[in-house]
Amino acid sequence: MIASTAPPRAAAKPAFAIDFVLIGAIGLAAAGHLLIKYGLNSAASQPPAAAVAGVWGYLTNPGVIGGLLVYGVGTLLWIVSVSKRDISYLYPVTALNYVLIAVCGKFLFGEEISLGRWLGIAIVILGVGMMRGSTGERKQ
Amino acid sequence: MNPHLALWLSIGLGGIAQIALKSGVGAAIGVPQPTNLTWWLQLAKSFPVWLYVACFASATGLWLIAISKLNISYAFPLLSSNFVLVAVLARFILGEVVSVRRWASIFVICVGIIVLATS
Repeated sequence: MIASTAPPRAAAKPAFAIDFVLIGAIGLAAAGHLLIKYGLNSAASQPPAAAVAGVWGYLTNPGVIGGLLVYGVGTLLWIVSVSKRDISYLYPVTALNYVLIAVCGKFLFGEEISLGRWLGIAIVILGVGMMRGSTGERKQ
Repeated sequence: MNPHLALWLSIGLGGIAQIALKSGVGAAIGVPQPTNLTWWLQLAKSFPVWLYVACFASATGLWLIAISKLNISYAFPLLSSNFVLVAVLARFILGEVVSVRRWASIFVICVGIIVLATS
């Protein structure tokens, strides 16, 4: 009988699913940030008198509310991701947010991406690519 | 509130939030799936998960205060120190094995964010 040498864990299937959930979490977080930025842009012309009043003003802004809702759904996907892998692996991967936001900022808000910014985007992607080799799934 | 204080409190609470979340979901029993209601109900009754929610909400509010006053090109690179903080806390509080490769990846990502935000 050689059946006992078979791997006891079915690890292969969830790996893809979790990548999918993680990408969803990061994408929705970026979308939420962009909506919040859109809302804050329109509110920036009215400087708050005090910190508490300022926070209330931001939290009642339609762009901020919509952004927080999208961000909330992204957070639920994030919680599922966190349950599957090391936090010291997952959290730095969310740096892809910065890449998504920079690229979306160009196409949605017409912001210029300088050569230096493209370099930064490339370095972040390189770092996340290096992360792929240490997914933290070796623990039993 | 001083926007610099708000920024650093936001970074610190943001890091603590992720560690609390990880310890909360780590203690939950069952298959973590978006459709597994039993699993979500366990999380809803978990103290570390509520600590995560509280820290995360505070960090978000403080971040909004900070970026309303500070230059975004100053605040964003500092936010990347979060990745280092989370890795250090994960290593010493949760006992995660942070390999040299993972530290190197975090370093490269931080460099990328600094270049991205200061260009």
